[in-house]
Amino acid sequence: MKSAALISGIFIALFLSPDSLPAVPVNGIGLYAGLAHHRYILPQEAKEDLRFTGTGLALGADAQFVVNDRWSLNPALQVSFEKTSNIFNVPGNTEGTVFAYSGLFQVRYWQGNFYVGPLIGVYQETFRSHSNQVFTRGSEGGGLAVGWEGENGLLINLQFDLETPLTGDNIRAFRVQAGFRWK
Amino acid sequence: MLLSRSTFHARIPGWRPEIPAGRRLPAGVILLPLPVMMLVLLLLFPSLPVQGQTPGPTPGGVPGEELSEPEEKTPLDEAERMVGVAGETMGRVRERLRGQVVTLGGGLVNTTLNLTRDRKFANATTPRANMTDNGRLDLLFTYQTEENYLAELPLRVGHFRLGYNTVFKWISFDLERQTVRDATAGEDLGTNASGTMVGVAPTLFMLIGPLYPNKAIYWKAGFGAGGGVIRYDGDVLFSNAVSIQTSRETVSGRADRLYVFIHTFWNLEWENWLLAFQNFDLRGSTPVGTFVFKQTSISIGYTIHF
Repeated sequence: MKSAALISGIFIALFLSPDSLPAVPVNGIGLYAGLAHHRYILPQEAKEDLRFTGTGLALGADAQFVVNDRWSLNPALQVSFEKTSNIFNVPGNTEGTVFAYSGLFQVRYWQGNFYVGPLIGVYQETFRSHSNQVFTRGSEGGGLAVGWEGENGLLINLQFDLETPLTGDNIRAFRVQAGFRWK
Repeated sequence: MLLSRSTFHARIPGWRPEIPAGRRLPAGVILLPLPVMMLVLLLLFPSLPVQGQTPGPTPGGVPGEELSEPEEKTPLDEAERMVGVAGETMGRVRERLRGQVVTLGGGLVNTTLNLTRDRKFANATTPRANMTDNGRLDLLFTYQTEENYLAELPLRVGHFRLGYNTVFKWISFDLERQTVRDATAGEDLGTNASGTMVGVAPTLFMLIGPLYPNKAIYWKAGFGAGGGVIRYDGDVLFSNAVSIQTSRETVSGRADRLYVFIHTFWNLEWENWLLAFQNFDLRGSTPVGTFVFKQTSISIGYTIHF
């Protein structure tokens, strides 16, 4: 998480730089892939919280609707396939998998090729232990993304998510992704 | 630019204004077989009585009086006439359904039904039974009325629109897993709950698009709150943090009153195809306790725009 904050800080510094290129965002579909890391804390009624982490492949797609040279609206779909530490806190049942998927809506503010934007969304995760126990959870949440897009269509996206929790769950995620936008 | 108040209830005709004609009304594809089927039926059963057919001479007519011979109509004539009537009816139906949307699809669906044996605020000692399907592949059906727009903001391409319509949802469920106490995953305890839920909700949505000129790619998300009914039957085990029942208890709920129905959705629409996140929630109290029915899904669907 520290390295994630460092990378994001570099992006924000570039974003604030007066030398940012005077490029403008364009409409288009973006596809990207990268790494996702989740930290899960799921409270239990009568015993210790379930705490585990997951890391794996992240895939995403968004549609960029440009408002003007400074603003764009970016609904996005993101999924990740992760291996986790002990899902059910059961000795010997140390690993599992998570399929996490989310539908997001982001408002981006552009400074040249760089952007920063808050996002809100619906998140769901399907957990599967090695003994094939399965359960699914979901909630609303939000986050912040920073990134860069070049005139040639290449893009880089860093994103933090916090799934809030009417249920009391506490799930945080970080994604670093690279991809391409078709204009 | 916001729409003025005078245009508050203005309807933009057709499906969506920017969509090229010819991609709008696949409903005709569905309605077209109707007259063809009628034609086939008439050819197979030419003796079927047809409304409006000229009657023959009555048995009680005046003797010796020559009745004018009615014009002979072949089954094919009748079939043509019926096709015309069916065409008119089809036109009227189509006009009446214009703008309405039916979505058929399938995807990963997670359904839960949580029951309590206490109508007050539930706590750790409240007996409860949480039924689930742990998430599975299932079919989805949704019906929506015509979209109406309250306000719009021009984008570089297309518009950002704020609108409303009404969403109708029908869900059939069969839950055969139960989470007991601290369990996060439902287990097969020999319990089950099955039933049907129907909900209707006036819905507020935002709609953005199209993404490219002449390509109907839209994003739409919104929230709706309305009323719904539910019917369920099952055998479940009630438990709380202290104890668990040893024998199953029969539960049932009947659609005898309207409960609060809430839904949220996130759709990416590409021509007639749809990628959707949907959440449906129906909750209320019964004479013996409370229930919360929830369904979340990610699905791919095909939309039929009338």
